[in-house]
Formats: sequence, structure tokens, C-alpha cells
Amino acid sequence: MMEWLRFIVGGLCILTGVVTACIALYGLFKFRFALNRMQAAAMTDTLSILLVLLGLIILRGFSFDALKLLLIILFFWFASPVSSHLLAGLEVEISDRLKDNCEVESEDRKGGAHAD
Amino acid sequence: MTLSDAYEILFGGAVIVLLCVMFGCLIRAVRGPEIADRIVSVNMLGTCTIMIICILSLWLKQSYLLDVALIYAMISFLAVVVLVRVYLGVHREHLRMRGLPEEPGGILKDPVKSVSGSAVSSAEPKETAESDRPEASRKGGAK
Repeated sequence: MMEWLRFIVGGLCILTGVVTACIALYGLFKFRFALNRMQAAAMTDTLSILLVLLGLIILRGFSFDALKLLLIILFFWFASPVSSHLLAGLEVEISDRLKDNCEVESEDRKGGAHAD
Repeated sequence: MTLSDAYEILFGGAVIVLLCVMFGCLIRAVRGPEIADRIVSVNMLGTCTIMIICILSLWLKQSYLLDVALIYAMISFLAVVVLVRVYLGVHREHLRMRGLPEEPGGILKDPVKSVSGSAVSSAEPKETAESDRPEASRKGGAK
């Protein structure tokens, strides 16, 4: 009975993670602009991988493999914002239709502390 | 239905759905109109691959696959960083070849200084000389 309980909890976590990945894929096709798509895809890098690997940790139990899975989650949570920052910088730098798709502050206001 | 059958169904279903998500990412990577779309979808493809590897490691009871997943995560992150640097360098080189001024608006400062440092140093004195000349004539006119 305990095994079934563990299977149900872990399976629910894995299923939620997979459904989150499907939602991120839907967002990748629904949004029209690269910065919006990046936000949808970053959901896979954080929430989806957290839920799937947490489900696997629950299914595996306390062991050295669980620590490795935790390390993968931790690495992704550090690496995903960095790669999103780099991609946003690339998009701002090379996009021709940036001003059509999102409002860009003018140069003199860019240095200001307030971004409303 | 025994517990091992339930595990088979859960892991198999998750792997099949993740494969479908990967296929969708591949379509977006091919169709993506801009280079950032392609890199974003390649990043998401790598994430789905890591999830599949982790699920397979429990399914097949091979714990060394988790090490493979960790290395894959690092290489996937490195691929994004390298692709961004390369495309930024290509874009700036393209602007310089066409004689356009480099846009200072980006948030990434000097990513490829070591690659094209000589071109930057050879281009800078010319720009300062050209920008100094109108100032000098303006000063002379004012005097």
C-alpha cells in the first residue's frame, strides 16, 4: 500500500511536469515575438524540470541518485536565467522590428533608476 | 494490474509525450523567423532531452545515466552561450563591413573583444578623427 501511495504522488508530479512542458510548447507556437516565446520556453527550464525531477526523486526514495537529480535541478535554476539574459540581449541587439513589438525606452531615460 | 505495470505505463507515457514536445520544438526551430527563436527552441529541446534521460535512468535502473544528464545540462547551457556570442560577433562584423555604426543599445557589452579586438582598435581612431573635425570647424566658426 505504501508503494502505491509513493507511486501516485510521484506519478502526479511527473504528469504535472509533462503537462507544463506541453503548455510551454503551446506558448512557443501561440506568441508572435521572440521575447514572449522566451518566457514560455523558460517555463520548461524551471517549473517543468522541477516537477519531473521531483517526481523521480519521490519514486526513487532517499539515495545518492536523488542527490544527483537535485543537483540537476539546482544547475538548471542557475543556468536558465543566465541563458535567458543572453538571449534577450541578442534579441535586443539584432532585432529590426523590436520597436514594433514592444515599447523601448528612449536613450536618455534608459540610465534612470525608475522603469515604469 | 501490478505495480511494475503501472510504472511501465507512467514512464512510457511521459517519454512519449516528451518526445512529441521535442518534435514540436524541432518544428519551431526550423520555422522560427528570428535567430533568437531558434536558439530558444534548441534550449527547450535540450531540457526535454534531459528529462527523458532522467526518466530512462529510473526506468532501466541505470544510475550512470544521471551523470550523462548532468553533463548534457552543462553542454546545453554552453551551447546557448556560444551560439549567442557567435551570432552577436557575426552581427557586429556585418555592421562593420557595411560601414554602419554599431548600435550601443544592447545590454551585452563587448562580448567578442578577444575575437575581433584588432578590428575594433583599427576602426576607432578613424571615427574619432572624423568626429573631431566638425567640432574644430565649429569652434573656428564661433571664434
